[in-house]
Amino acid sequence: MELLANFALGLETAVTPTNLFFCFAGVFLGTFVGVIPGVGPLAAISMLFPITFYLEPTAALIMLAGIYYGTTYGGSTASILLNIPGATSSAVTCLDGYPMAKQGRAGVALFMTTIASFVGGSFGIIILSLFSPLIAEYALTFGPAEYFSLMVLGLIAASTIANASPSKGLAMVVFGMLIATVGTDSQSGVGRFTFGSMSLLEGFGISAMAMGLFGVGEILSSVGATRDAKIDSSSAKLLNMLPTKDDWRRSWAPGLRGSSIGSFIGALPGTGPSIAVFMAYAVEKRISKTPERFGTGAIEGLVAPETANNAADQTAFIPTLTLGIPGSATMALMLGALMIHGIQPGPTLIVEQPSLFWGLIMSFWIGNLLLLVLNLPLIGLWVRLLLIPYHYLYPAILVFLCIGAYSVRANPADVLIVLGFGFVGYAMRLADLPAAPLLLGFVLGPLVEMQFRRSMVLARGDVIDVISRPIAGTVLAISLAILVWTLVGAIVRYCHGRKDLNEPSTGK
Amino acid sequence: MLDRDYRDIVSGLGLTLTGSAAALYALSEYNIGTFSRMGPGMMPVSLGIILAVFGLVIAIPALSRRGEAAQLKLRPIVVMSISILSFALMIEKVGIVPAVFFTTVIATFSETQVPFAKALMLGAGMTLLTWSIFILGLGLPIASFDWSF
Repeated sequence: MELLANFALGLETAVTPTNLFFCFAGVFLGTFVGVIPGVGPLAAISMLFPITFYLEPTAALIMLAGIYYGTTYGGSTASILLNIPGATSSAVTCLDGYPMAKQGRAGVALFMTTIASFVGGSFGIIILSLFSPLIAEYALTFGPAEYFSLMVLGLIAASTIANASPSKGLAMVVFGMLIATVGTDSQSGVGRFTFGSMSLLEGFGISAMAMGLFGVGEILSSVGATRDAKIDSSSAKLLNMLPTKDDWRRSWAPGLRGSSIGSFIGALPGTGPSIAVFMAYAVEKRISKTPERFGTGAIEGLVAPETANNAADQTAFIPTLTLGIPGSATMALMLGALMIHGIQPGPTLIVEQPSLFWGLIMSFWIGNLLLLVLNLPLIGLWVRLLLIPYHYLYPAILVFLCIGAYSVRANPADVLIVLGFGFVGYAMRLADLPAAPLLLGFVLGPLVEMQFRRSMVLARGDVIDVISRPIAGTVLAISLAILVWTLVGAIVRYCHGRKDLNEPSTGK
Repeated sequence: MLDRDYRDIVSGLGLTLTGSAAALYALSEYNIGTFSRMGPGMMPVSLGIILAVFGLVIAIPALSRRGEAAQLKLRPIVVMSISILSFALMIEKVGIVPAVFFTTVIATFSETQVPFAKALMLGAGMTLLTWSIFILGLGLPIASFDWSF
């Protein structure tokens, strides 16, 4: 019953005309940018979130949440029609979505994606509302040592588990933390790595960094590249959008399994939607009576990952909102945006600002509902957007990045910082270094340092004292186990690589 | 194919260099402190050292591995930089309308596929769009036109 009262409070906040309008605007803009091929959720969110700076916090957060769902949804549209995943999490959508489009069933695929997103999202929101208060209450007993160890676990898990090359992921997390030390040290007031520059005393803004790494870096690497993907004109007509009875019958069970897998995986640190979709797909294929249909346009292979993706997107907010520890780079960006609006997520948020917390959760749901209402009639519009050639789109994206960067602090120097991070982002793409862990390290770095310093002060400099605390010690042990496991894996692969190299390569 | 994975060797060594430079600079400039009272230098020094180690972890296995050559596209980099620079220089001097127009038109030169007339049309369209969103809609305190000379 308390939950219903909370929902009512949240609805009261979310369903004002202004907030509904901003939710709608966020969903619309998010889908618009997310549909553009190659622009993933991170790039889209970093491009759009300066717009929210001028709104009051609740409206801004609601719009931000709308942008977040919109970009995810837009990404699946591009995956289905063009076979170009905007993010790793929509790569699985390509597997069966693109074959469906080629069979002329693009309309059905997009329709089912929309429904699946809504079902998965709603499921995730229920889990989020049930578990957040419990975790927050438990987390009230956490001290700096517990926070420090949870953050270390989050960073290690996020940079190793989902990455092809764990050493590169870890290096980028550390690099991000190092970049975050630029600016005034919060404890001593000393300016670090400022080299006498006044503007560096404030440090780098998360928005400038994200816009450079993911926006400018993305444009630089995709301009001039050959794009041979073309939409089939037959799939763009969308003659038949309504799924058959057989489609519905096949979809409901995968949808429920996808939602459950997504909700569970999404809440764990470092795994997030990209692991959830692969697991949901693998499970469906395993238990299917006709696994050979997968990859040729099986609707189960579309519905399960889409529900998992959206459920995981929701439950990823559990650690972010209740502990203030984001599990992924996207969540780190959302956390950064919350902090810009003066909100510090943590266990006290639910108690101290219930209308904001529950308003946000309800607006998540309204955002999902609006996606459903907006996208079913507008699918045709999104498809037409995909037909615009990229060489007309990227100048427009660049202009939005420039205005966004400038408007944050009305400082032209910020535009140049975006350009600088654009170079870094492009260089990292050339070097095949992942940018998402860098952003996560950048956001969590200062928090890790602060909590570590505090816990060391409390323990009077005794490291053993921190390790012997039950929660902190266990979490640190898990982190260490992941590190060792990764290291062993890397050594095994290295030995394999050597063997391949020693074999004569001209033998074939 | 190259006989070694130079991409990973260069990026790994670059990270090692960055990490060591940061650690050494922080070591000489900032107070390290003790574990119970950490100074501002503790974190940068330890992060620099860890980064340097990971750089080596990336570079050393790449020595005994074949790799692909990375392709550097110079034209988009130069054109985009000029485009972004011109925005930064113009936004406060001449206002958002000319800044957006020139930024858009310059950016189209990154690829050879856009005819000049269409680039001008795109510039005009973007100017109208951004003006109506940011000035009319959101009311940002940016001058539309500011020809002060």
